[in-house]
Amino acid sequence: MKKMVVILFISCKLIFAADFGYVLKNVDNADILLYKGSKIEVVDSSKVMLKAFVNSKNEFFFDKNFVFKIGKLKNNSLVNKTNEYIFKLEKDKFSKDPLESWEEYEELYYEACTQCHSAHEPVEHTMLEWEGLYSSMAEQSQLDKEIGEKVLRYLKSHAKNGFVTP
Amino acid sequence: MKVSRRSFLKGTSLGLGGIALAPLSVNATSNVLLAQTKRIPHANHYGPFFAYVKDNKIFDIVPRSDLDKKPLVMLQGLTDRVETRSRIKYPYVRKSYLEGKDAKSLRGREEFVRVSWKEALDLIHKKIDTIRKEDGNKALYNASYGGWAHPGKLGKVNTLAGRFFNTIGGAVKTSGDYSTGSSTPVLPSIMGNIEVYSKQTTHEQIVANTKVMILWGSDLYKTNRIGYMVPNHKNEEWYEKYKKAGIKFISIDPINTQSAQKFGAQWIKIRPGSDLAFMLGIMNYLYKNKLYNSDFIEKYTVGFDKFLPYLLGETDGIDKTPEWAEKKTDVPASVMKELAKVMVENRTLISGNWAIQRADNGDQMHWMMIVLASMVGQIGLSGGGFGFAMHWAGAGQANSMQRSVGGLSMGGGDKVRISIPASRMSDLILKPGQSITFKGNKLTYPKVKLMYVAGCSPIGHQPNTNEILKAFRTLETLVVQEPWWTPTAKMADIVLPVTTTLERDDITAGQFYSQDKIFAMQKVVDNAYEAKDDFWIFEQLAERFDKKSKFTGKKTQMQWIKSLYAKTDAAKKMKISFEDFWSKGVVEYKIPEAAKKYVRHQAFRNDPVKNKLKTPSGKIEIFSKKFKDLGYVGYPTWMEPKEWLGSKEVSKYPFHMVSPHPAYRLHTQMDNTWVANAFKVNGREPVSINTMDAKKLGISDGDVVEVYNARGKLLAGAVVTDEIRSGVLAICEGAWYCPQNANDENSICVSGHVNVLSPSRASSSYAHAAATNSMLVGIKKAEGIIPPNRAYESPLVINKV
Repeated sequence: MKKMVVILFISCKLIFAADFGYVLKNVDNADILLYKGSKIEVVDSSKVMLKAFVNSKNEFFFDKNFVFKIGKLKNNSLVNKTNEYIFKLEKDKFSKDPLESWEEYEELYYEACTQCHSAHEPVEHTMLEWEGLYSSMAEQSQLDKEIGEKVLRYLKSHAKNGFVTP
Repeated sequence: MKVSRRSFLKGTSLGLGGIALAPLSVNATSNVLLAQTKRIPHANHYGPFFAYVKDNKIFDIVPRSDLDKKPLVMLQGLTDRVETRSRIKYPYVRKSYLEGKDAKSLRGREEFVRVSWKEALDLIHKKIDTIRKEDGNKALYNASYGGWAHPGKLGKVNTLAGRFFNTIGGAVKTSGDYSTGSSTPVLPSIMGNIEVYSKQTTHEQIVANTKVMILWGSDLYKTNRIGYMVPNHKNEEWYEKYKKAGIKFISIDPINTQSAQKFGAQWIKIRPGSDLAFMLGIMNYLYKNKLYNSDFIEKYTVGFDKFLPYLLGETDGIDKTPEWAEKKTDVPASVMKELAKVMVENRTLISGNWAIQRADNGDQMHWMMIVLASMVGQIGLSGGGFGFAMHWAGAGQANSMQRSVGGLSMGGGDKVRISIPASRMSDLILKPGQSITFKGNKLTYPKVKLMYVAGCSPIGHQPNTNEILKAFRTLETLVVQEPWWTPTAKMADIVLPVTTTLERDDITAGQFYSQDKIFAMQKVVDNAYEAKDDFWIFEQLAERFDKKSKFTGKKTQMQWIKSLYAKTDAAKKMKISFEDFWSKGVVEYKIPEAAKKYVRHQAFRNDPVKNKLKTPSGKIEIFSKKFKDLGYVGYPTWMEPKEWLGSKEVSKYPFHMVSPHPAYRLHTQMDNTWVANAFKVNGREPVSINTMDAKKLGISDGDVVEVYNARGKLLAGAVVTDEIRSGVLAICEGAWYCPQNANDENSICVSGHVNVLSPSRASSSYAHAAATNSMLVGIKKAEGIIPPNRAYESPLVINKV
C-alpha cells in the first residue's frame, strides 16, 4: 500500500511538475524584453510564463530586492497575477538545458576571470555578493563593459540564490 | 667588474639602438665588447631593465632609469638567478619512485636520477591517467598558486597549470590567497567590496588633504618595492611629497618599520595580536566623549545600535575602555585617548595592512577597522577614511583608464569544482573526508593522490613546515616544475626544469593600479641546460591527453603574445604596431587629470542612495545579519588569540614571532642570489631581537641563535636592535628551508625558514585562512658546532644519461 502511495505521489509529481526553460537569445518584441538565459515556465505549446518582480520603471528583476535585472515589461496586459507574466514564445526560442543558453557567457567568465586566479564557483556567493566581488575585480581587470555585464549575468544566474543550479 | 661595467654603460648613449653603440671616449677593448653586445629590453617583478648580452651570456643588467626612478638592487641578482648552481638542469625522478618502489618516506631524503624529457612526461601522463580512471580528477591536486613566479601574461604559471588541468576535466584547486585570506571572504558582506585589492585614493588627494596617516602595520616603502607586474617606484617620490605636505604619521606596529623611520612617525609599540582591543579602546573613548561622528553612523551604516551595547560592556560585562585595552595592548590608555582626538580633529587616513589579518581571529580585523573609521566619520572624504591596499603594487597612483594587456586564461572545463582555502594544504592531504564550513558553505576534503606544483614553493608559504613535509610523504606522487632546486623541488618525485623569465619571450603590464605601461619581456638568453618553458611543458602533457589544441588555442607562444597585444589600447587606439612596441620594449599611457581626483568611497558618501554599497542594506554593515544567521555574533568583537603574549604558554615560549615581508627578495624568490645573501647574518636569515631582551639572554649582534617552539626549531642570525619592541621577534618570510638532517622527522632548519615555527590552524572558522602571525617561540644562543646552510645546493643527482 505504502509503495502504491509513493508511486502515485511520484507520478503526480512527474505529471504536474512545471516544465522550465531558458531563453536562448534576447527576446525583444512589442510586449516584452527578456534577456538571454532568463528562466521561464512552459504554460502550453505556444505560451510561457515568467515569474519576476517589476520596479517603477517596468524593469523585470528575478528577485524582490531588484539585484538581478532580466528584462523589461512593455505590455501591462501580460500580467497573469502578481509577479507572473504570460506571453507567447516559440519552442525553439528556449531550451530545457541551462548550459545551452548560458554556455557563451560561462566561457566569457572563465576567459575573463581566470587570468590571475582560479575561478570561484558561482554557487559560492549570492547575487548581491557577486555584484560586490565583480565591482572589486572590474576596477583592475579592465573588462570590456559589454562582456563584463554578460559575465555578471552568468554569475548571478548561477549564484547561491540564482535560478540555475549546477 | 659588475659595478664598473654598469657605471660605464650608464655613461654611454646606449639608449638609442638595439645594438650597443661604441662611444669614442673608451678604450679599444671596451669598444669591441660593446660592439658585440646586444641590448635587450625586459621587465619583471623588480622593474624594467635592459639586459646586455654577449655570446649568450648576460653581461650586465641596467635598470631603465627613464621608467624607474628608484631601481632595486634585486635587479642585479637576476643574472645570478639564471646561472646559479641551484638551477635544475635536467628532468629528474626520485630514485625509488623511478624504480616503482613505494618509498614515500624517502621524499627529500634520497638521490634523483636524470631522465629524458620524454620519460618524465610519459611518466606524469601515465600517473595522471591512471588516477583519473581509478579515482577521478578529484584525486588530482593542482597546487600551482598565486602567479608570483612569472609576471608575464602568457607565462603566468598558475594560469598555465590551471589551463592544462581544465583541459582534462579539472583538479582540486586553491580558493583565495595566503595574503588576504581572512578579509576577502568577509568584506564583501560589510562594504560590498573586497577592499584589500581595490583602487585606492590617489596620492594627489592624499598630499592635498590628508593631515594624519595611520600606518596600521603598513610598511609602504618596503612592500611597494616589488610589483605583481612591473613596478615603477613612483610611490617613493610621492612619499617625499607626503613628508613635504606635513602629514603626521603614526605607526601602530611592534616594529619601528622602515616607513615609520623614514616618515618620522610616532611609534605605538602595540602588543602583537591585540589590535582589536586597541580599536575598541579608541571607539569606547570616542563614544563616551561624544567625539564620534553620529551623523555618519546614522546616514551611512547599519547595526551600530547592536554593536554599541557590546562596546560598552552591556552584553558581556566588560566595558571596552582604553584602560581595559591598555592591559591587552601594552599601550597606555592616554595614548589611545590622544589618538582618538587626533583622528577626529584631523583629516585622517587609516592605512590598514594585511599582516594583522594573517592571525588568529583575522577576519575581525578589517571589519573592526571599518567600524572605527565609521565612527571617525571620514570615509569617502578626500584624504580620509581607510585604505586596505596602500602598501602594495603602487597603490595611490592614478589609473591610466586605458586598456593595457590581458592574459591567457585557465578557461572552463573544471568538473571537480573543489577549491580549498589557501593555507589548508596540509589539512587537504592529511584529512581526507573531513568537512569544514568555508564562507558558510560545506566543503569536504577529497582524497588527493597526486599533487602538481608549478611556479611556487609551498614549503615557502604553507605554515608549519614539519606538518607539510609529513603530508608530502603521504602522497602517491608529487610533481614539481621549477627553475631551481627549491625546498619543494627537493621533496618531489618528478622534477621538471623550467626557464626563468630571462629565457623566454613574454608581455606584461605596468603597475597593478596605474596600468600605465605595457612591457615587452624579450628573451635575453637561450634556455639553460634542458630547461623548457612552462607553456611547452603543459602543451606536451596536453598532447598526451589529446588536448593539445585546446591547451594552445592553436597558437604558438609568439602568436599569443601578439594577439594579447592586439587587444590593448596601444594597438587599437594609439595604432602602435607590435613591431614598434616590441623593439622599444614599452608603451606608455598618459594619466588623465580626472583619474588623479579619485577618492575611495567618495561616490557612496556623496549619494548613498544612488551609489549604495553592494551590501544587503546598501550601507556599511557594522552588524551583518548574514554572519548572525551563520551562528556568529554579527559584529566584530575582541577574542583572545590562541597564541600571543597573553597566553599561558608564554612561560615556555616567551616571545611573539612576527614574519613580515622581506625587503631583498620576493617571498622565496631571489633567496638563492647574492642580493638576498648579502643581508643574511652568519649565512642564515636574520632574526630581530630587542636590545634589552638580547642582553638578558646573552645574545650579541651577529650570533647564531636557535629559535624554537613545539612545532619546530631553526637557526637564525641575531640582529640586536631597538627598532623592535621587547618581547617580540621578527624573521622575514621566504628563506629557503634547509634541514640539518633530512632523515630526522623534525630536523632543525639551519637556514632560518620562519614557517618551521608558524601554526597551520585556521584564522577563523569562517575564513579558514593563515594565522601565521600568531606564534609564540623561545630563543637562545646556539651552542656547539654550527652546521652549514646548504639551502641553495642541489641534491645528489645521478646523471645516467
